Amino acid sequence: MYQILFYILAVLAVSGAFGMITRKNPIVSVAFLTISMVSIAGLFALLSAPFLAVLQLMISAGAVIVLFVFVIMIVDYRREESRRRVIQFGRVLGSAAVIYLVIVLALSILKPPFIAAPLTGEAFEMPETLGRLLISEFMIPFELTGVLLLSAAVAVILMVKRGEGERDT
Amino acid sequence: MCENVLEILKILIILAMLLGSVPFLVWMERKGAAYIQDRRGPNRATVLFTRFGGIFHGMADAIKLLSKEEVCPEGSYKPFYFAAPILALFLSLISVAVIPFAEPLKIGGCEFNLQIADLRSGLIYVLAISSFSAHAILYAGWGSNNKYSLIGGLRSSAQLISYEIPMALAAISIFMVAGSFRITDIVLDQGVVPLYWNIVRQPVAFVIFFVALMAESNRLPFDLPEAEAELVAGYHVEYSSMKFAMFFMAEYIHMFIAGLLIATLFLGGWQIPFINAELLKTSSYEIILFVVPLLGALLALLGALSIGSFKKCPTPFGKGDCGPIIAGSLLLIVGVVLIVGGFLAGMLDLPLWVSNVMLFLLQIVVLLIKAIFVCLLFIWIRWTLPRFRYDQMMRLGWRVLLPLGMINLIVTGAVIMYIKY
Repeated sequence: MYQILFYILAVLAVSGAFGMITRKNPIVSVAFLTISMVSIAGLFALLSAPFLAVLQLMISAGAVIVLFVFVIMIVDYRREESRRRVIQFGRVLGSAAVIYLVIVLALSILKPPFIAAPLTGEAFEMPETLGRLLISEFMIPFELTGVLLLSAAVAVILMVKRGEGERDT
Repeated sequence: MCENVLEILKILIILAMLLGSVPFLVWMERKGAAYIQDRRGPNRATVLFTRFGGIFHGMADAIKLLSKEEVCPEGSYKPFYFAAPILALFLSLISVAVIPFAEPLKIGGCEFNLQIADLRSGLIYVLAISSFSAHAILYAGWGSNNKYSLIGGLRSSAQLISYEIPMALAAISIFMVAGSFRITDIVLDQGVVPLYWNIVRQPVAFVIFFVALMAESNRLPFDLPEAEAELVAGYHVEYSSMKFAMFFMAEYIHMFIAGLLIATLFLGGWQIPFINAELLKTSSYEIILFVVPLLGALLALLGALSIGSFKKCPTPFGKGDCGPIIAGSLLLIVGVVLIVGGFLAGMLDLPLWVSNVMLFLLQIVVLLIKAIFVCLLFIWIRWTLPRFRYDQMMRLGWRVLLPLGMINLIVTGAVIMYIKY
């Protein structure tokens, strides 16, 4: 039962991700991303971390993707497509990210101290455990992520403000 | 063995209850609207010369919606267009899974808990599902290729995102009071005395949660996604027949679940006010001796009054209503049976499980009464207040409810610290 569910969810997650990067229409690709996110939430639930699964469903699949869809529906994406500079920049950035990911994956597999994630057991079901880990052991990454998100928000506001003056360029 | 059967049984019971609540709520809404606007409301559909205050209009509506032609707009994006109503109904149905309807019932070795999943992160699951339900409306709006639909969908998602945060803040203050995410714990923590229910302990959180839930279920002061004066019908303009009915059902089920949720979190859940469940369990003999005949007398009185209000039965083509006499005589018979049965059962020595089952049913009824009361409140507000303008709604969400929620959180934390240390 467990294995069947795992394979179904894993296939759904991967094919959702694949569908997301291959679709031309951004809204359809966001729908695929949603499928992927929901399957990942299911995988968390299978790993006996239902709290994390619910959070994944709430934040990633709920709020963040709704925000995505919202922005995509408002922004006229056809005009965005025609901007060659954006596309070129995206290609450069994308290939750089892919190369980095491949290097990291290769290093983590090839290097000897490659440990499979240990089973966390019952304790991880408790929100207390998660909360304690977040504000003790993983305090600095957690705060840095917060700063990253804040800077992204500031950047978006800055770009929108600048866009207002020179709309038709 | 009995567990598996009961699991399936309780899912069926709860789903049937939810789907059955839709025609009832629609009827309640129409009647409520009518009485607020000084009308009579629906009262024409008759079955076997009876009207029962127009409750059969739900059946007529269902037949009408099922037999209507389905129209699919030409430029629509089919996968989204067809998936959206299914998704909407599905998401509103599954969020009931964590609500406990009664205390676990133990008979012999079997335990029957009328709650589909007792998740440790119960309330967060509800929040997650409700934040997810914007997808259905968004896909409906975008998929049907209509600018009114699209605007409705966008408004809905913006509304959902803005009201999700105050709702979560209100929920957090409840977690802090109860010390747990589990809904069963939250219910038990409130106790049987209404003075210790969360509505008294957390009045600000109650107001925030109530308003946010109303915004999330797209009820009238917040029904901008389907504002018919501006957007024709919002995200379901292009839907007809059963696909429209699915959105409609999803909306009413959402409202019913909102009522259940508020009853569970703020009004003590399935706990009977002032009466301790343990007391009822131990003194089953007296209850049967007193309460059941009392209930029977009440029902018989109602039946007699109903028969008394009966005027005339119609000829096949005339006017009139046989409802009072049929309902009244049924109530009278049930009442008399309860009186006699109660006295008979009081004389015999009943096994313990009878009183346990009765307690179980009583708890379900208590929760449902609370939930229906909250739904009545929703209906009352809907037909009393005018619709907000879009910017007013956004201002209410971000500038009033959000700071209020944060202040409430800080005050709650301070008070809990003061009490504990």
